[in-house]
Amino acid sequence: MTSKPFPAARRLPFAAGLLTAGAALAVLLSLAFGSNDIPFREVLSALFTHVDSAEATVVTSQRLPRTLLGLAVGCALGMAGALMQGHTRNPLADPGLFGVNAGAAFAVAGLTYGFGVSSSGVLVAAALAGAGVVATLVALFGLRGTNRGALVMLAITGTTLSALLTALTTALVLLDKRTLDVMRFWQVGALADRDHGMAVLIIPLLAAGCLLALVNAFALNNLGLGDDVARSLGTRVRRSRITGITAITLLAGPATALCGPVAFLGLVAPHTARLFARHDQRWLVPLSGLTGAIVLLVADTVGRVSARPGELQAGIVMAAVGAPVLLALTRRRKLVAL
Amino acid sequence: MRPRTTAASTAARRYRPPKVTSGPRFALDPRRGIRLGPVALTLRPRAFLAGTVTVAVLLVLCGVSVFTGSFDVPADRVLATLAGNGESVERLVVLDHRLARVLAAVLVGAALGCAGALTQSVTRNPIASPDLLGVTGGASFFAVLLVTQPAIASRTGEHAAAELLAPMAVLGGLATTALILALSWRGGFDGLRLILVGLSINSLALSGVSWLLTRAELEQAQVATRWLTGSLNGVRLPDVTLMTPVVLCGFLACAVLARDVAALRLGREVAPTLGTAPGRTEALALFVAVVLVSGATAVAGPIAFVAFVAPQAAMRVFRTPGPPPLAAGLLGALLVLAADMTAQRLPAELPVGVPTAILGAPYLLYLLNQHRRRTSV
Repeated sequence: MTSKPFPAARRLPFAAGLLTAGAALAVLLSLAFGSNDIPFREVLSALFTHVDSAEATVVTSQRLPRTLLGLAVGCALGMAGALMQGHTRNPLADPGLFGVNAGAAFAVAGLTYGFGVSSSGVLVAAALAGAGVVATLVALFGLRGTNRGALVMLAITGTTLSALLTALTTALVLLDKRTLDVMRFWQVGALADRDHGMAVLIIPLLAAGCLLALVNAFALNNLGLGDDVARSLGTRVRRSRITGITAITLLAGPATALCGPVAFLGLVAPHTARLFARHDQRWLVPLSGLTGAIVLLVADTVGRVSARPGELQAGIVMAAVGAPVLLALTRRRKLVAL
Repeated sequence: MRPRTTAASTAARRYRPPKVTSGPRFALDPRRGIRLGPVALTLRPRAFLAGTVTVAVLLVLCGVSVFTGSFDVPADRVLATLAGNGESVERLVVLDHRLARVLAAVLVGAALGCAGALTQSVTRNPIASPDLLGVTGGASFFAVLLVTQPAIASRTGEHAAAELLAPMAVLGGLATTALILALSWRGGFDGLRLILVGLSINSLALSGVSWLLTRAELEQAQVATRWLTGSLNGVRLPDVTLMTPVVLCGFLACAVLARDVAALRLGREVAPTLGTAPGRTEALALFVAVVLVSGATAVAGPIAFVAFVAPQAAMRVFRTPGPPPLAAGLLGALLVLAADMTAQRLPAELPVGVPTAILGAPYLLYLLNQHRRRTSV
């Protein structure tokens, strides 16, 4: 990090505190700023007391659910990204690598093309199912047989299946104008206009994924030494891999189904968190979650403020917020390799 | 009295030597060298066989493509036209439409496959593709900008927009590439740094594309999506004359660089001990990849997936230790040609980018499966 060593025992709690404070600040910003100008004092009073005014309604029924959604989805995608990079040991790995994004997109496009479905609840459910099915396929195919070279095999299998589904989605989009109209908005990734009713269904899935991810992070530290060494240290390699894939699917699937593919978040968050956590996955996974939540909330807030009276989707602003962060990281003399 | 059984002797009795089930059934592996004066070559029967079969299939597909099509031209007339004695209609159908398209498909596929192998070798990452270098991402952004914002396009000339689309887009793509390469240069292109910079800049370009698409009229979004998928529909003979020297130079450079790239695959620390300068090799290999991808994008737009699948498939078909540039070029040509033939013969008209993945993905999955069976002992 710097030329002077910063001992891990102090660095990691410091980083955790810093990122938690950052996340709290991001939540406040997301509540305070929006397309309507509402004084911060009124925001606070709307949150903590029952006020009947238009502003209070905006805060409690629009900004609060949206902020919580952003927090949950950002955290989920950040953790999923960290797990994915940890399992594949590939810096190019994003949470969509096992086909979660491509599966969800294909399900949405297929339903729109085939049945003309436009109910957002049905589309969310379909996206969830699509993500789950494709991730299971990749896991079944990539993990079958031996563990030798399983990492590379999983990554290549995931990329290949994703490409296949993306091509099929493109075919549907090109054949039907209405599907294109749905997909061009779906694939951007946004927190606005999402079905908050579905969020209730999806939060338990995210929570389960979160728990699994934190448990899996312990095994991931050993897996990083290579499968053979991990096995000799008592890690159950196969079981850990399956746990990891399940956690990634539970985290990234619902997040993508609800908000569309915000794949870049799953890349930025772990690469940034690696600045603090370096190789310790037990810290890297939760810190990536915090980083993801911060980046998504900031991107969403910037998107709301920058294009008044309309707004820019969080997925679009994400690149503008995340890319400079990632670029700044690369200016360092020595990068923390995976 | 029977000797007491010790743990060690039990283990020794229980030991069965493992059955060797891996490896090819017939011995193609032992390498033999040929030496002709100062030139020495290693004979690799497997690679030679795979190469011969690929070229043969490629030639057959080219023949089928040139001799058949929606407009009926008798075989002898096709031959006469190819020899230069055709009527104007025949020349239009056979030369301008069929031959140009076949050659363009082969050249574009070869360029993409070769560039993919170079990128995967330099980044030492099997899921990398030259998209990381920003040519396609940048070109996509500028193309969509020109399509969806006619105000900008009209500034370049009255009716030039359609014809200038590809060159302008590729120029934009090259600017993007220059930015990526400048930001990731540190006396060489370290794989991880290049990947991080490439991801960042590409995500900016691609989110720009998404943003423009959500802003555009639905008709313009349709045109833009079609361009983004990559298509050989508008290919003419001048495109082929542009592409031919690019690909030939690229292949030549690959042949010269092959040894250094192979050494680089062993790592930046090992390469110098084999007499390879990592920084110079990386820069040259990426330069060749950028030139190849720019040519392909200028002719056909960004065709995804070829550059990822061709090197990975070639590695398994030709049984090489790393992604082989020239073999990947051959397989890339085969894939794009087959995909374009499929695209032309489908009832609904789809750009070549769609059947590319639909044909290529199952083939790679099949190869992965075969490969695993051989290595799983």
